[in-house]
Amino acid sequence: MAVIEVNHLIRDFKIGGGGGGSLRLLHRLLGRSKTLKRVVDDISFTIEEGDFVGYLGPNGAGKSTTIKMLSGVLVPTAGIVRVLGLEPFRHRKANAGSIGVVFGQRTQLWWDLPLRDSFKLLGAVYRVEPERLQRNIALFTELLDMGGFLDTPVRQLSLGQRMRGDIAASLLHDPKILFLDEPTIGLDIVAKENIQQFLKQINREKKVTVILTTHNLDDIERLCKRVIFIDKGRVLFDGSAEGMTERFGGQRYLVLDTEHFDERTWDGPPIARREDNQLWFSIHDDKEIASMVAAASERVAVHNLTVKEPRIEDIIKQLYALGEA
Amino acid sequence: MFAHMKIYLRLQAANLRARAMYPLNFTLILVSVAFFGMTNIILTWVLTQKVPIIAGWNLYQIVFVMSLWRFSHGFFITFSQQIWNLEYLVREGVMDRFLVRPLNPMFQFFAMRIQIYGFGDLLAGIGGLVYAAPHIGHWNVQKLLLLVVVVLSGAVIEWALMTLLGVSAFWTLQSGGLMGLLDTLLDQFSRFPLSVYGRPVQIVLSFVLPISFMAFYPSYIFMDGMEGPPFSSVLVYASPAVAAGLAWLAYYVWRKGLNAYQGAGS
Repeated sequence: MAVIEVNHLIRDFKIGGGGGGSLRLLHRLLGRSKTLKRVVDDISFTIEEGDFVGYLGPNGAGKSTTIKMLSGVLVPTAGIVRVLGLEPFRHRKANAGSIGVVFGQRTQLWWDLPLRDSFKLLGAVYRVEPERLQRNIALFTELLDMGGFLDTPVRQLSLGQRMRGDIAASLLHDPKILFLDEPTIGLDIVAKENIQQFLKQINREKKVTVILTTHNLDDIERLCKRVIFIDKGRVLFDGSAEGMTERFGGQRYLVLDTEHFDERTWDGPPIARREDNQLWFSIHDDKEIASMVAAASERVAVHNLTVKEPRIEDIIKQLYALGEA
Repeated sequence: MFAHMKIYLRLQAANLRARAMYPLNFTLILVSVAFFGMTNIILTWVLTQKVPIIAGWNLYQIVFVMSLWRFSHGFFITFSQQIWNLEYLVREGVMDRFLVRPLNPMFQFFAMRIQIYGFGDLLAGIGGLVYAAPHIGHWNVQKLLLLVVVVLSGAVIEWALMTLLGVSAFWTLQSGGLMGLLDTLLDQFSRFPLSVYGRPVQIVLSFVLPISFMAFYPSYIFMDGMEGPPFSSVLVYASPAVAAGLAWLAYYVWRKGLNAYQGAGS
């Protein structure tokens, strides 16, 4: 069942423009000289129940704007968004009850109060029955290892602790869909792994559909069954994480550290890339490796030999570059 | 409605617990706000020692009007001073948070915190009222009930006017200046009855920025032996109507502002 449908979604923002200095202030006062910037430009996708989707793209690609339209904060300029069959901004309250949202860089916890108090207040806001709330608090406290700081005021928590608190807080009302906007930003490896483990678990066991934006590549590798990559408001790639690897970086390379390499006289296997004395050869079939090494060592001195597996990082870089072009 | 009340009380209990984390701040500001309110009364007292009757008003009457305003103002500060933070909350994206929760955003916004410093104004207001009330006219249960209505209307009027200005933050991200302007006006023109000012000021403060309905006009209800107010004696009873009208307008404009913030139809 599709829980999210996005169809030809467009969102424009007014950007204050005009000249510099005091003239600009005048323009702003008069509300003139505003230009339209298309932040989301004809995006379409469908997300099925239980999916775990990485929504990726460089800064300013339109990720957060899309999330805000899915959560009912922003109204689309054009196109259709449906979450669980409803248009979020028209049925804002109904939608709010069935989604959880974590804006990674902004907490929704009460700064001066213990974490536990925030959970209880949110329970009241979302009208969660007391027993269910207790059960969820207990469960998340165990899974996210929050027992040690449940009664500490939020302002005294470390970033990793606070983030765990925020993620738990967004799930107290058992939402069907969880939106996470950069939940692992700035976290140490322990906190990150704890959170990744937790997200995996609630996705699997509670069947929560998760949509996550991130710049953390291991989030993608460990969590995302599917990746939607956008840039400049457009979808560049939509498919499985493996599919992305195959399509954009499926290439494995034989990398040789050499000496006395001369481009002009080279008549060995075709070189895919060269970094100083390091030569990269594309591997199409493992059987080629031996003959390539042999051919190369006949011509130059080979000091070292490695086979580079495709890395998601390189793929992302490649995709970023694609967006630039 | 009942559910909202319950949530509101729980949120405010939490707020108080949070405030109590900074007890020194709390006490000092409370005392200084109450003291500030009192100084206005003392100033009036000093003035009336030299000039016993100002534009037909004596010390007790002036203190009564001034304190009536301050009492309403105290409720405004306590329950809706939050409006001052709107521009900041819009800029910081805190409004987004309210929009992803299943509650009315305006309710969430104002419930986010009560401003206990308003207690200082309430304290100064009630002090002045108690001091002046016995000297200005006869009191009975009816008048006391009317006083409650007047105080609440006054608070609603200030809330509505401030909200109308504050909401501009949804479009411009800046509303502090406008609100500061109104705040200065309120502070200046709540010190003396409207009668002491010239016609243009009276017109503006009655029909453009109707802050005179917070205390000046309704104060005639409680004062014996006064001549009628400027314009019409009907205005004496108009406060609740003015409050209702402005409240409706404020909510309407808030909705418009929130729509603009979300980008509906723009």
